Amino acid sequence: MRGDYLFRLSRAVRWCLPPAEAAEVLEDYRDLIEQESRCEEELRRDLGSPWSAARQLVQPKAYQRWVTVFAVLAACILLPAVLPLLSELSGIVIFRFHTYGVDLLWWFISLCDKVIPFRGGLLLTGMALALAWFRRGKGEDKCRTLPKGVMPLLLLLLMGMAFQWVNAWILLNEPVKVWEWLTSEIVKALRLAMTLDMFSMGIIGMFALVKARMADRRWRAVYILALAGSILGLSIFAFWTRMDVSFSDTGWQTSILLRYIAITALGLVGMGGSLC
Amino acid sequence: MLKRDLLELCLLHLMAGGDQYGYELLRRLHEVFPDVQESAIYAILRQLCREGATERYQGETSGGPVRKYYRLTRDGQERYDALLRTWREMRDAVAALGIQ
Repeated sequence: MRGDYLFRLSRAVRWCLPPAEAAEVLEDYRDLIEQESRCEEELRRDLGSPWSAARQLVQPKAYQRWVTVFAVLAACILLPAVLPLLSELSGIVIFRFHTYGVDLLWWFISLCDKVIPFRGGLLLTGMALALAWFRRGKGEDKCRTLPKGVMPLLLLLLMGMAFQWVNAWILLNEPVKVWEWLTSEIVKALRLAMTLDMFSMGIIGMFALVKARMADRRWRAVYILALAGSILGLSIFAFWTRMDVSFSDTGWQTSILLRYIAITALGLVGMGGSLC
Repeated sequence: MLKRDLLELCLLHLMAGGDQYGYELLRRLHEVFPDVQESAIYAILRQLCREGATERYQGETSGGPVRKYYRLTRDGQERYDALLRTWREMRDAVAALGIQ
């Protein structure tokens, strides 16, 4: 029971306070709780609920700064991860049920279109902020073992990015030939699968963001790779839905390919740096 | 003077009498003010530390675990004197109205 209280308190404190301070507070509370044998009810009566105990220790300005950073980082990953799926699903619903007055769903499609031009800014902002905010603290030792779960999620994200590269290859490799053997149903299924892939990356990125605050700052590597994956997906999605290039120009793929390579390279470099 | 200031005064008063073990401070104050949760007292104690009124150090008990002790700093002593003055003025003002 005391373990339960400490576990909840640990979550609350790690969310509300910077890592070094949270560790100090938890040590004090462990000491305090172990002095007397008190059941969970008594602990709640004497110490208050874990969240209220943590909130009392919050320095308003520092906490507001953290909440702002969290909101920005969440927006950077959720906008590219969620909007394409919403846009894709809205397109399907509008196409199938247009007689039932579902026109308001165009809003999602237009919002996605509005966000697409800012994808580079979202990637750079998210990466820079994650690297700066979750940097190693003064006097913090270098830990060689990675937190449990980081490697499997990184591998999963790399697989997701590989799937996006397959889609990019299909699009950039002589579209006229490709459209000959790709039926419209396969194209729709592929695009939906890619938006689902980006959505999953968004969920993994958010999970990593929370873990970077509450467990180990190196979870930022997962966040950064998920962010790069979402942005890469958004770039491919934007190309797929617009196709605003002149296919008659020779080498039209080069600039697009370079952009995709730059996003992937940034993600991989950011991920590597974050694991240190 | 708010209740928070009063709790702060009590904490500083206890420490003015000598270095105090953290748990002991919380327990004694919670006994005197049972309606105030220990977490609230701990929050005040941490704030005092952050503001430099008190400082923390680790002391060892014979054979026991490492314990954290708190002591008053020079700033803390000044703060204690100021709070004590305010408390006395307040107590006299209230007493002048016949409130015991």
